[in-house]
Amino acid sequence: MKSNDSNTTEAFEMMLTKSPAEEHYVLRLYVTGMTPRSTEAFATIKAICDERLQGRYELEVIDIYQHPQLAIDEQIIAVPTLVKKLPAPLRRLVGDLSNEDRVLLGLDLRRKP
Amino acid sequence: MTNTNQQTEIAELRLRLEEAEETIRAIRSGAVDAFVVEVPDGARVYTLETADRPYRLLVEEMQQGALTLSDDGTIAYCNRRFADLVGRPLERLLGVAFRAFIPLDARTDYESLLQQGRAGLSHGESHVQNADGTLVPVFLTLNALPPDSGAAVGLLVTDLTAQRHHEKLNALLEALKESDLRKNEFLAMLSHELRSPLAPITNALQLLGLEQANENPTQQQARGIIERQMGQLQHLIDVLLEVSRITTGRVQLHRERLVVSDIVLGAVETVRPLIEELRHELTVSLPPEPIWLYADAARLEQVLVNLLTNAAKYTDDGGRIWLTVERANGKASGGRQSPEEIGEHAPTGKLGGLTPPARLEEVIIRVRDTGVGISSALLPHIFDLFTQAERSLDRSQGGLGIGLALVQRLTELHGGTVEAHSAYGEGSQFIVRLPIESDEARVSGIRRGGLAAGSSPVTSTPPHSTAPVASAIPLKTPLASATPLRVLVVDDNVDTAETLGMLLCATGHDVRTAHDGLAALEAALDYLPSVAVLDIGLPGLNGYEVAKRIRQDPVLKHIVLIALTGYGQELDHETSLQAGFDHHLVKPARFAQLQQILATVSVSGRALATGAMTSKQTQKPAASAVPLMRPTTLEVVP
Repeated sequence: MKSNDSNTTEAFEMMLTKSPAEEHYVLRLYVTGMTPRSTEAFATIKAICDERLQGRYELEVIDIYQHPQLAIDEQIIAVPTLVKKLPAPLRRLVGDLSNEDRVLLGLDLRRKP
Repeated sequence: MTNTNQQTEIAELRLRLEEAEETIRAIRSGAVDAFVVEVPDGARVYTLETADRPYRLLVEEMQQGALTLSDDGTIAYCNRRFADLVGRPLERLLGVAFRAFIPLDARTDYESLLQQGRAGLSHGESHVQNADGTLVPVFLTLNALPPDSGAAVGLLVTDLTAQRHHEKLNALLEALKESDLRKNEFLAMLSHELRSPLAPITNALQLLGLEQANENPTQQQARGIIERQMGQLQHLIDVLLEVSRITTGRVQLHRERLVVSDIVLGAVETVRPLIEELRHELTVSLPPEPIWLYADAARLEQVLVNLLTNAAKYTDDGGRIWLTVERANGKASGGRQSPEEIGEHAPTGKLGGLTPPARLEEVIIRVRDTGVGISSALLPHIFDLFTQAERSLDRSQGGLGIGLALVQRLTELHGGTVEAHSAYGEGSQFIVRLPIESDEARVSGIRRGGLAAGSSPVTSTPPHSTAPVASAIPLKTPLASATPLRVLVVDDNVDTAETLGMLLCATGHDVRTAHDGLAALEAALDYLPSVAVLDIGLPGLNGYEVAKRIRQDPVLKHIVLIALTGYGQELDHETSLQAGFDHHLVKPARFAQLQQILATVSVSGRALATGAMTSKQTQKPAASAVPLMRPTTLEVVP
């Protein structure tokens, strides 16, 4: 029993530390075509995903010119906006997404200082 | 629990508030490109200048004219490129009907394009008129725009001027190629046709030569002139034929293993009369041991003869010419080891291990002179066909600009290279590099052992021989009477047949002539000759056909068949062999050659032959067990 107890504790601790590393990320980046801001945002997010979320993320880029209704449904007000749909909670990041620290924070990939 | 729920709710609200604040901050600081606004029938995107700019740039900077047209066909928007295309200021174009730029005769087509474009998509070629009056060929692409876009049709105008230019150039290129091909065909035909009358003239000259004892001085002088000019004419025609072979890629090599120095000395012998006539001093340096090549002896000699002849012709009288032959490593080897070093250090039999397989040995043949040299303008084109130095008035070098082109083609056919080094007034040097036959290269490399190769060149000074200039027509050949034979001469050129007949009669033979294939067969049956000289290009039955029928006939099959033809290609030799010919002579053949063949023929036909030669033919004469002669192939090499 004792060993069982310690196993459970270990499993719990593992879940606590490991769980963020194994969660699946679903991200949507809303942009307006090929502005410098949107290309920079895409580059930053792509780099972070490849480095930190390799193999467990989906990133869609949506041009609101081409899909304005999608933007309404997602309650987008201004672009560029990055929406973290999963893992919960849902988060929206608006504006300058070229700042890597800001994006990391918004994606809960770095503990707040 | 309620407490926990409330705390979660508060955290959620805080997050939303943070988001809202963040959004406002982003908008205030100008960090956004566009807003999405909900309208009754959906969504609308309001963009800021930053978002529009890339599209604007794309459209303004693109190399096509881009326009939008209103429903009535007037210009609602156009980019700068279109303004440039029609040569008008941008501000004068909006509101103008696009058809105003289409020339009158093309407007109907344009209107129908516009009609289709409004409905969906259309495209076609047209013209737009520039303000300076020029018509610019264009390709128009029209497509319908969405109803709320403020314009009816999008229009792309692509300038076709450059494309048209390329098309024109390509058409010109095709026409040039075609005319070049025709010219080559014409040359081939011309040289062939020019050869035909040479045969009877040569024969007639030889006939006159038989009577030289009875000639008065005027006749003798006149005959001499005709003889010399005939030789010149024949040479020119041979050169023409050679050109047509080069341009049509029909030069074929008959390669064999040979020693370079043999070829060099042969070439020197050929040009010696010219060199002596111009009082040049020729120095030939050869390596002490033989260098083997796998090459066509006649063609390689031709290369050297051409280079030496050029050196002689373009050097003032009493100049100096050097011909040097040496062995060298090819470009493939980058090592320090020279073949000499290998030869010195490698014990016999271990050379293969020391020599990398990529190493290529080659022979370098240099022909250098103290002549006028080649101007820098001419030098890059020196190996082009029909290129030659300008002829000065006082000194005619002659020639057709073929020699060096031939040198290059023949060297390349041998897997070698040729280069020219010169400056005007400073003499010229031509360097021919040829690959050494690899097996032989090793064998002779071993053989040279400790010899310091190249250190003791053999210097040959021209001996004062009085050898006459080689004439294309050896009229001095004694026309000794042979065993009298019955000879059938068949040629559709009556003069050729008759003059050859007369010559044969004059040398003691009995002759009958015929001028077409069927007549030849009839004459053969009636006359039963021991030899038949057949032209190939005969009317009715051609020469091959006549030969085949003669071979199939039990009475006629022992006749010695000699093909005499203007077609000098390899294929023809093979074909005539297969048709049953014993010998193949190329027009204009030397009468002496024909005499030599006749001397081997016995009265009964194909019986007397030299035992050393064997024939590929399976057909054997019934009356004799003596092996057949291999067909003799003769060809005049200019």
